[in-house]
Amino acid sequence: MQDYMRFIQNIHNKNVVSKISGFALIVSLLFIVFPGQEATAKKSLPENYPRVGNYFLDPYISTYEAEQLAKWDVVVLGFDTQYNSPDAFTKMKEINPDIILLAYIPSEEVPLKHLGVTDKKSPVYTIYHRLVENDNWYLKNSSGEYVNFYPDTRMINVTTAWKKSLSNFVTKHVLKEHPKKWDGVFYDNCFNNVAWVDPKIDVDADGKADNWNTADAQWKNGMNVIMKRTRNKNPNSFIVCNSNGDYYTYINGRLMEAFPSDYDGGWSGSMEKYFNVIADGDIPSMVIVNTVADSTDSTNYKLMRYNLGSTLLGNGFASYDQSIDVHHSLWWYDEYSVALGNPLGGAFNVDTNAGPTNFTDGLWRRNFQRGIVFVNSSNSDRTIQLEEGFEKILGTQDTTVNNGEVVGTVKIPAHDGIILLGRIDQVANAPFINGTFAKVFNVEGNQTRNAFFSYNSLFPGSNTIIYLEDVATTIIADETYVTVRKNGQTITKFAPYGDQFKGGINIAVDRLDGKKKGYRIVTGTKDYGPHVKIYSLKGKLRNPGCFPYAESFRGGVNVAIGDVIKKNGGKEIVVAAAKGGGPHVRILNRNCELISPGFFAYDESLHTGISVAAGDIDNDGSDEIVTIPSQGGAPYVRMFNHKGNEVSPGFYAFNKDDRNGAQISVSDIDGDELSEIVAMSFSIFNQ
Amino acid sequence: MKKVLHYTKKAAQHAGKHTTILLFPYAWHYMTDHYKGRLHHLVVDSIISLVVMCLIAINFSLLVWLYLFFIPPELELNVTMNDTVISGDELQIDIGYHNVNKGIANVKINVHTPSGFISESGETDFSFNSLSADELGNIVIPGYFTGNVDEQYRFVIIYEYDYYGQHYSGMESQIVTVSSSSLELVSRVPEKILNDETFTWTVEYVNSSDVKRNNTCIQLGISEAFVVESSSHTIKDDGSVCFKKMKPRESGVIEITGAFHNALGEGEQIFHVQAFDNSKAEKYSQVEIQNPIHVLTPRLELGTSGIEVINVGDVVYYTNTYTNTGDVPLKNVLITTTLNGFAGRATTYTSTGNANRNVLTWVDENIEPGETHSQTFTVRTNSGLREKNVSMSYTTSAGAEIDDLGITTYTRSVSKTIRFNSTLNFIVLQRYNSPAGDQLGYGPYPLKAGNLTALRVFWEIQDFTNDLSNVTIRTTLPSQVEWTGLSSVTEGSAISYDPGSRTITWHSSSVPSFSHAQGAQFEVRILPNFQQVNQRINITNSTTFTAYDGFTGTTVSRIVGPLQINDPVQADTE
Repeated sequence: MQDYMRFIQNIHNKNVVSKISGFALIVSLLFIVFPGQEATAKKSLPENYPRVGNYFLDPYISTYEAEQLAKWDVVVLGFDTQYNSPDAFTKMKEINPDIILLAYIPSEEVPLKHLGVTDKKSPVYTIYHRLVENDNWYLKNSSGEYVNFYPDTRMINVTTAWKKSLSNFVTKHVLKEHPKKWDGVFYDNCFNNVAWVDPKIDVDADGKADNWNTADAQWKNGMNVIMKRTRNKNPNSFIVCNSNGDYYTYINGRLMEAFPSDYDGGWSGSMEKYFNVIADGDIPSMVIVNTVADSTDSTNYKLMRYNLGSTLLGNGFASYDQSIDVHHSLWWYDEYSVALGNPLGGAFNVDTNAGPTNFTDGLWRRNFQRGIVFVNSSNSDRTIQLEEGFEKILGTQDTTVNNGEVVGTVKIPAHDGIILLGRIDQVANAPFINGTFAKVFNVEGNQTRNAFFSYNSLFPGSNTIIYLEDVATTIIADETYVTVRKNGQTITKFAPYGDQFKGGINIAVDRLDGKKKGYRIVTGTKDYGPHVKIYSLKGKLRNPGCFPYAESFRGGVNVAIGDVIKKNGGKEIVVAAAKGGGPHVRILNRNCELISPGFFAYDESLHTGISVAAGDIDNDGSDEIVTIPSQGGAPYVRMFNHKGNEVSPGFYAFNKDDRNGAQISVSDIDGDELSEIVAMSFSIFNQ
Repeated sequence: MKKVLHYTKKAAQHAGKHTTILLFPYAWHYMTDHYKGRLHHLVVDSIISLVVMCLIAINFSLLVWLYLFFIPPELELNVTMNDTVISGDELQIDIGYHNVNKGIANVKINVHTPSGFISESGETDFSFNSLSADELGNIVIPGYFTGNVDEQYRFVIIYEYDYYGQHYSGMESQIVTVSSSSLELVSRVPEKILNDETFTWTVEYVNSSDVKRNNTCIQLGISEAFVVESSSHTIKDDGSVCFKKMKPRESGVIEITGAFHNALGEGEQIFHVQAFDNSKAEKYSQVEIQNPIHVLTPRLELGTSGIEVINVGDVVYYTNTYTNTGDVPLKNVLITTTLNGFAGRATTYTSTGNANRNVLTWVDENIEPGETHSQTFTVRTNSGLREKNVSMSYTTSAGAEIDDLGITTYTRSVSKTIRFNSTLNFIVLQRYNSPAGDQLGYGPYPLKAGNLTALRVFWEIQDFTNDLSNVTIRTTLPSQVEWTGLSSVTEGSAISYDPGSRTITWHSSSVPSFSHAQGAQFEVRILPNFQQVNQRINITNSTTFTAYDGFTGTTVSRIVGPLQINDPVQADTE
C-alpha cells in the first residue's frame, strides 16, 4: 500500500497524468481493491498413493470432524461451511497443509430449504435470495410448473442470468473471499442434457414444450458458460463436476458418484469414463471415484477395496461413504494409511496384458514404488502367483485380508481388490548396519511391518550405511573410512580418525542447520575414545569436534541428529557412550558444544554402551531420543524427550534374553510420513 | 703555682723566639732590624735555613718510606673445590681472594687446570686493575671434569700484582682425587653356561650426570673362547662399543649374544667391561668391572616332542627325552618342566613324576654314558575353553650330578608353544519364521506339491574363537529350487549366484571373532512336484565351509550334508 501511495504521489508531483498513467492507476487500484484476484498457484496433487477423497456434505463441521477430515487428500464440503464452521478450515489446514478443499454447490438446482434462509451474512442467502426475486430463473415445463429430479429441490434454468450469477458468486463470495479456505469448487449435477427431467421441458420459457434436442443444446450451452466463466475468473482453482458432464475444457475432472454405476456402463464403462476424464480434463486432472455402501455399516471392506483398487488403476481419489443421499462419512480404512509411492507405469490386465484403453472385466494390476494393487472385476475368484513375495497390510479392520502376511500367491475374490506391499530391504534416511535383521515398531512398541534384512549388496556387511533419498546419496562408514557415493561414483572418501584407526566409525547425517545448509556428517568412534567430528557431504572438516565424554574413556561414542530441542534452532547432536560405556545420553548443539548434561537412559550400572537415534516417533513435531543397549545388554527400547522424560513405555525389540546387542534408528520406513523405530541386530545368526 | 706558670710562660716565649729565629730567620730579622747594617746576617740566615730545610726534607722522606714499605702488600687466596670429584660430572672451582693491607694494581689470577677440566665459560684467567686495601672477592669457575678414576689431579692458581713499582707474585694449588665416574656400568652374565650354549651378555650403561658426554667408549673384554653371534651395538675390532654422544641421564643396554666354543673342560671365564672417555686428547679410564662365568662341558642333551596346534577338548602327550652325551655316568638327573598358561585351559598328568602346580619334575637316579631316557606327561585340554588366540607353553630343563668331578651340570632348556585352533560351529538351516516368529518365507508351509514356497537358508558361523580369514561357503541348488536374489551377509561381500552351475557362494576376506553374530542368509523358492509328496526334498545340496585360522596357520573346513525341508511335502487337497 505504501508503494502504491508513493506511486500516486510521484504522478501528482510530476503532473504527468496521462491516459496511460490513468490506466495504470486503475489497474493498480484493481489489484489493491481485489487482492484476492492475484494469481495463486494451483495446488499440486499428492504424489503418494493411494489418493483419497471425502465427499462430506454437512453444513456444520465439528472440531473432531475437522481433525478426522484432515486425513483425506481432497475433501468436498458445502460452500456454506465457510460461514458456518470457519474454524474447521483452520484446523484441517493446520493438520494437513496439503489438503485440497472443494466448495460444494449445485449448479442446476437449489435445495428448497435454502430459499428460506434470511441471514443476510450467510452465503446461502447471498446466492439464493435472487432466485426469490427472479422466478423466471427457475426451470419450468410448458405448464409453468417448477421441475425437479431430486426431492426437496427445484431446478434452475442455466440458460438464464443464473449462469452468470452463479459463476460470479463462486468467484467473488467463495474462492476470492476465502482463498485460504477453498482450493476449488465442486459443481454438483453438471448434466449435459435436461430433456430427460420432464418431457414438457420449457428451457426457453416460451410456454411451449421444447424440442428435446434444442432444449439439451441450450442447456449444455448454459452449462458451458458457467464453467467457462468460472475457469476464466479462477484459472488456478480446481473445478470439479458431478455427473457425466462434458466440460473438460474448463474443468479438472469429475466426481463419479456411486461407482461403478450401471448408468456409466458398469465397472468397464465406469473405468473407461474415469480414464476419459483423466485424459480430457484440465490439468491436473482430478477424479474422485466415489462408491457408496448403501448402508450405515462401514465394514463392507470388500466394496471399499473394490473402489480403492479400481481408483488406484488410475490417478484419481478414492472415496467411499454411505449413500448418494448421505455423504458425510468419516470412514477411514487401513488401506488409506498405506504409502504406495508413485505408480510405476499404468494399469494392465493380468491375463491379456492390455492397458487401460480396453477395460474388459478381469484381473487388473498396477505397480507402485512400494507395492502393487490388484482388482478383480470379474465374476469369479482369481488366484495369482506373484513373481516375488509381497506383504499384506498389517491392519486392524479386515484382518482376514490385511494380516501382514508375506505371500507369494494371492487370491482375489470377484469384485474385490487388494493392496500388497513390497518387502522392505533397507532403511532410508537413517543409519543402518548392513546385513542386520531389522524390526519396525511404532511408539507403542507394536510391529508395523514385517521384519526384514536391512541390506545393500553393494557394500560389505557390518558397514554403517545411510541412504539420503532426496539427494540420492549414500554414505558408508567402515572401520576406518567414511565414503560418500552418488550415482555409483565415489564423491569423497576420508578417514576421520586417521588411516591407522581401525576401531570403526559411527555416523549420523542430517541438515544440522535445519533446511538452510547442506547435509553434515557427524562421526563418532566405535572404540578408542569418544571423539565427535563434523564433516560436509564433500568430506570437508567443518568442526574438529569435541569429546562429549572424558577423553580417557576408551569406548567410543554413538551419534544421532535430531531436532530434539525446538527452541534451540536447527538440529542437535545426540550422543551416547559406546562400547563399555554407561547409559549416559548427552545433547550437543551443531557446533559440538554441550547444551544439555543429559540423562541416564538405563540404570547407571549398565556398562554396555547404548545405541541412540532421534526422530519424531509420536508425530508431535519434536524429535524424540530413542535408545537400545549394545552388546551385553537386554534389547529394551526406551524413548525420551530431551529432558530425559520417557514419552512412552519402552519395549523389548528382540527376545529379552538376547544379549547380542542391537542398533536403533528412527526412519519413515514405509513412506507414510510418520517416523518408525527400527531396531536392528545380527542375533538371528546366533539362535 | 704562679711561679711555675710564669717560668713556663717565659720558657715558652724563649723557645718560641729562638725556634722562630731558627725556622724563619728571614722573617725575624726583617721584622726586627730589616738587616739594616747587618747584611751578613742574611748570609748566615740563608745557610741556616738551607740546613734546616734539608733536615726537614730528610726526615719527611724517612717518614714516607716508613709508611709505604715498612708493611708490605699481601694478597690472600683461598681455593675450594667439590668434596667428591666424579669423572664426567660437574666440578666447580671457588677462589676467594683478600687484599689484606695495601691497595695493589694490575692484579692477575691465572688458574691452571688439568686437561680434563672444561670451564663452562671458557675463562680461567682473571685480572683486576686494582684492588683496594682489605678488598674481598670470589671467583667461581663452573665446569666439568673428566679424569681417570682413582687418580689425583692438581689445580694451580698463580697470581701477581704491582705495588708502587714493585711486582709481586704467588701461587696456590689444590689436589683432587677422582673417586668415581658418572658413566656407570652393570654387566650381567649367567653364573654358568654350557659350552656351545648360546646366552646373552648384557651391559647396561647410564650417564648419571647432568652433563653430556662425547666420544665415550665401553671396552668389552671378551674372552677368546666366546664367539659373538649377534650384538645390539657395533663392536669395533678393538672390542669397544663407542658412543659419539651420550645425553645427560641417557642409559642403554648392550646385548651381546654368543656362546663359548671349544672351552676346555669345566672352568671359569671372565668378562671385563671398562668405560673410557675419549672426549679430550687424553683417554680417561672410567669404571671397570668384571664378571666371572663358569663354562661347563655339556654332558646331557635334552629334547621335547608333541604337537603344537591342538583343538579344545584334545588329550595330547608330550615327551621329554634326555641323553648322557658325556663319558661318565650322571647321577640324580632332575628333569623340570615349567608350564605357562595352562591354568583353566588344560590339566596335566604324569605317571612317573611329580606335579606341583605349574611344575612337573622327574628324578632319574642314574644314566650311563650314551643312554637316552624319556619322561612323558599328558595334557587334557578344557573342552569349554572359548578364548581368542589362546596359547600355552612349557619349558623343560635338566640338571645332574657328575660323580667324578663332584659338580652339578645342567642342560640347555627346551620349550614348546601350544596353540589352540579356533573352535567353530558351522550351521546350515532353513527358516520360514525367525525364532521370534517373524515371517521370513511365504507360501504353504509345510510345503505342498504344486505350490511355491519361499524359505530362507541360513549359514551361521558360531562359537569360533580366532579371527578367520578367506572364509568361503559354497553350495548348489537342486533343480526344483529357485534362487530369488534376496540375500544378506554380516561381513564381507555379497553372496553370489552362478545360474549356470546353480552355485551359491559367500566369500569374506575376514570374519572377526567375538564381534557379533556372523553368517549369511538367502531366499530360495521351492516348487515340489506331485511325485515328491511325502518326501523330504533337498533345499540345498552339501555345503562346504573353508577358512584360514591366522593364529594357528591352519585351514578350517567343514562339510554339511544336504539341507532338507523339515517336513515331508504334502499333497494339495484344495
